[in-house]
Amino acid sequence: MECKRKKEWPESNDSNRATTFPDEVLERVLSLLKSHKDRSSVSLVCKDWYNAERWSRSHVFIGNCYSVSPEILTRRFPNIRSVTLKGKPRFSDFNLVPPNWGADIHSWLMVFEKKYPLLQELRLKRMTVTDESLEFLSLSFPNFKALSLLSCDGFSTDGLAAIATNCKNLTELDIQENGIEDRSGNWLSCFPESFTSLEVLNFANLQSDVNFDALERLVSRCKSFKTLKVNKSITLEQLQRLLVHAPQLVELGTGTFSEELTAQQYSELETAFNNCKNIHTLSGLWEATAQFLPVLYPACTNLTFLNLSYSTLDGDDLAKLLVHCPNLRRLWVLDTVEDKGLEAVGSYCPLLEELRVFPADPFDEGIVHGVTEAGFIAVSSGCPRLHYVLYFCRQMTNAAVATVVQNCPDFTHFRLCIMNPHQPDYQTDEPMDEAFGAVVKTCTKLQRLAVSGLLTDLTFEYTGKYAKNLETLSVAFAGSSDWGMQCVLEGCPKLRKLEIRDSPFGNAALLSGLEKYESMRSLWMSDCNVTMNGARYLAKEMPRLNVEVIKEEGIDNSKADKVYVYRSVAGPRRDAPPFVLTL
Amino acid sequence: MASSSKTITVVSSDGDEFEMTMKAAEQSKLITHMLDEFGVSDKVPLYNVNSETMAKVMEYCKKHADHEAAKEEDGGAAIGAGGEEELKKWDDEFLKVENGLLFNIILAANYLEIKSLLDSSCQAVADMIKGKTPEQIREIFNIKNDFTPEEEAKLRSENEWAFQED
Repeated sequence: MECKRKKEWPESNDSNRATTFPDEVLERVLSLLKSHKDRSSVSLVCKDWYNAERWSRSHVFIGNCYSVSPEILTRRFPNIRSVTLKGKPRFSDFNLVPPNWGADIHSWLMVFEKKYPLLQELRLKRMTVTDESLEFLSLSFPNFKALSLLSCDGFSTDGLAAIATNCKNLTELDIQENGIEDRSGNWLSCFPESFTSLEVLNFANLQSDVNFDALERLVSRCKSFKTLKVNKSITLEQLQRLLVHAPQLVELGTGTFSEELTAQQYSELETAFNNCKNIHTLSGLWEATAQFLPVLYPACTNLTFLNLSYSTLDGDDLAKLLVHCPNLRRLWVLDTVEDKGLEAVGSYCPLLEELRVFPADPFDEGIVHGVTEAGFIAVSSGCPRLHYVLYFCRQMTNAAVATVVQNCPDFTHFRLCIMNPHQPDYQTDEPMDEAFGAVVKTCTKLQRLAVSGLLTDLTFEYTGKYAKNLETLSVAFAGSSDWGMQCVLEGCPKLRKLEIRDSPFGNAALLSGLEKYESMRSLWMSDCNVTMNGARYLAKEMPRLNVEVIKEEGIDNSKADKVYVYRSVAGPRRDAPPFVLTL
Repeated sequence: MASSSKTITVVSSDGDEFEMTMKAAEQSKLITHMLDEFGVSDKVPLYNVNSETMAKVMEYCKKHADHEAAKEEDGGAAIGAGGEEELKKWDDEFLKVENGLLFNIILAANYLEIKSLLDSSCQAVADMIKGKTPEQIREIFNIKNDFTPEEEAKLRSENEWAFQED
């Protein structure tokens, strides 16, 4: 009989005795817990449970790479197979964070090589990743399966070539919206002929042509392909050939969706889409025109996510397409669809939960076009389940927003971007305070809010008073005084991320949050009125916070141009470049 | 293996005797091994399982043995398409007992090596843990907090600051 490691056995049914499970039973129970919140709770129960939990955790999520160190991570969790890491503050998307700021993955990889040799998955957002790191990754982890890089920078297609060449067990390669140097498409040809495990491939945002033969062979020999998102170098005719090899695709990103096709080629394309019964996500569609959209219709029945943010469709073409998409839950479009297109959304997509409208020409201040408040209202009327909106527009009214949230009170994410800073309600000329007041009063489940337009402190008074579930707030060119920011810091108990730019909040506002910042992930303030003294004071009073100032060269020395404050168990950064002052 | 009409006797830690068919006994790898080693004529002592728990385990093994037998007859026609689902429902109901007994069932399933019972009872316990605070979990399992306040505060910070999800 096997000898098992056991704890003491309970002697009787006395329910007052403590329950001690053998280690293997406890670990078995804990391995059934996936949520990190549950695992955190379990780790705090007692020392035995802390140990059982840390040995059984296989995936770790780190929302701020500087909040912890690779040493602390690996010491606590010895068996991690999957790591998700986020690096730079979000405003780096708007070029507010200078290059070489940090969040370099390499120091993490060096530690993982020793401590997590069985690492399988790495998912990075806003990290700096060099080709050297990618090559190191590809050679150091023989079981490596999934690489996802979102909004990362620092690498080129050479790094991708190393991944393709060396990762024999790769199932996922997802490269999205990265600032990458696209030297050539040859990386795709580096997958060996013997390689058959790929299930997810997304290279939609790369520019260079890839070798189509290599791609076609890859798709045809990898029988488990689920997600394929190609770049715009892939033509319709080539797409048809890929679809023939992979009709089982669940997520498809097409290439350029316009081409001179013969009648037969068109028909073959229709047939190919007709055979794709499982597609629920569709994207790409560069240069899609009315002539070619109909080939999609048979594949649209089960569509739940349609990303048209690369297609300059007009409202009519969108309407014709949406008729065939009754099950749509998420829709991303350009504002070329205008209000007419959004009316169609309201008419044909009753199950819609998420809408994102991006500006086709964000910097064009000429003729007013795009979407307006009318389109916003139209969508809200027809889509009562809408709970996530990102809406770029050039005009808005308080009344319209109030109507929208009355139609859709369940918003969890409300991101309204009136593109010209300080723009008032265009009908009444008043600030947009009442709009956001309506949002926070009506939408009690609101977790994420981005405000815009001409806003006084009143907006922030409303936010502090009503937005009790708010976790993330983005502010740009808004507010009148320190009081506004204070209201938010004092009033929003669940606030975790606050990012502010170009707003009149100074030291008093910054320091009113002294007690609060340890309960938040991070605060970003750029081009506000904070001074070096204010930042230093915060750093001195709250030693467990990292208070960093990014100094631009040659600017007034007493101002703190960009302040980034975040809690950390790893202490101050040791890799800060000269322009980042760690106070 | 002896025919399924034979029975064996197991003895609980309280000294009570329970009869089970060979087929039911086969649900437990431990009992199967012991019978292989020592033969079927003696009573099998299971000193780590009390009578209350033993009765429940008997019930489980009998139910699953009957289910397996029905599957073997008529190539599964007797069970029908919804048979597996029905069994799962039965398992769920079976485990709706007070905590002390549930914990004893897990320990018994682990000791007796009854994999399916171990899996479902572990899942039942995991479900009890989901969504609970550490304090609530300690109460359910009657566990003493052996962290010092400093240790606990440090751990909480690490959990929330470093590893909390978005």
